[in-house]
Amino acid sequence: MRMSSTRVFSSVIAILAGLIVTSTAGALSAGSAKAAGSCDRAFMFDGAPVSAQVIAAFEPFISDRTPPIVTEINLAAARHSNEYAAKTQLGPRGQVVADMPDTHYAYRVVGCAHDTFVLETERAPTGGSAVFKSVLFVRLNTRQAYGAAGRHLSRQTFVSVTRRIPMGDRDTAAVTLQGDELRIGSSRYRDGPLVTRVAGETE
Amino acid sequence: MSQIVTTEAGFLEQLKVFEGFARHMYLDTRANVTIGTGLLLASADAAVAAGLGFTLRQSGAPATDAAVRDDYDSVAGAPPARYPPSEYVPYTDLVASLAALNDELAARVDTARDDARAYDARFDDYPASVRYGLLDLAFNLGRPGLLEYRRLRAALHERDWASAAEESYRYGVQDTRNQAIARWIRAATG
Repeated sequence: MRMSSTRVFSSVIAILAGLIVTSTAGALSAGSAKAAGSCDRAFMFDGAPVSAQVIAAFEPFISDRTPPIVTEINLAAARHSNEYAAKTQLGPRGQVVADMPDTHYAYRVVGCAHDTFVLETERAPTGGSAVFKSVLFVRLNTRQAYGAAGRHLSRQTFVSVTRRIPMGDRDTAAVTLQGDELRIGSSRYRDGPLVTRVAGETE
Repeated sequence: MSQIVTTEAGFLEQLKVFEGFARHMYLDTRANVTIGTGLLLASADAAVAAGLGFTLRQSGAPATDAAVRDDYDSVAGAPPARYPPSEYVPYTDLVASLAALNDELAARVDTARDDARAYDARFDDYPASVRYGLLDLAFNLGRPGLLEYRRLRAALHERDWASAAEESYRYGVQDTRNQAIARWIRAATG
């Protein structure tokens, strides 16, 4: 038989609590990640969430056992390019989402510490059952760089990935950041939580 | 350790183990209501219209449309991110027909087979265990994901089964699944 009314009530409370958390995640995704750590900027560029297609470019092929090959992308250049023109949208659970012909990609800003944003990502190849999840440590920096003609310098913003932690296909683990301590919970892919610090990951 | 798979029936049973399978509705990792081996039910109406032959788990009596909608709403409101799918049994009263779910899975495997052929035109020339290894990759990764496996295809074309087994690795699936598929492909060496 179906669960008792008491269990149903408990589930409703849990769902409402989840919605509140989701709302917070949505706010983070929309740019208030500063509240989650000691970062001096939000994970935004030009007034909008950083493109999910840009973040997707950091993910290595599923077939490769390599660290990210692409480690930095010029956000300013990507913003108005054809190459990164996939529409970025906010998903129902606060994720930043892009649907591309070959894949669905989404990220959620878990938090931020020491100017490093922690993103929980999911990548679902079109037509497959897989939803591969990972955690990315990324940074934004603005510096002088040459423009399209290669003649003049201007201030441009770059996003770079400093660490990628693969999780698993349809991994149900909770990903949380408390201060600078990242915790990836247990799931069928790991018996206990994976705990690591954001600080020093670039050493 | 799973057997080397060389038949369609054996593959379908092994695929249920790899992917998970449930005759009742459950939530996938994105909190979508799902049944069988990841068959998405986009709405309560879709669950009714899916033709899955729902019956009451306890009595075996055919379920009414209202009962299907009731089960759907119950699962849709359940906590997400539970695994395995049996965690959602307490939220359901109904089970779908095993035959209907098997037919649906077989249809999606046919789609995956088309993807495998698009990936490698020599697919049908390979030994059975190699074909089923590729079919598992295609079902899980879809055509775009499979197309990333360029080194695997090169090894297949050389009929270098040992290298192909190595190149079949997926970062992010269960170790048991990676090991099984590598063994299926390596089995072609005889």
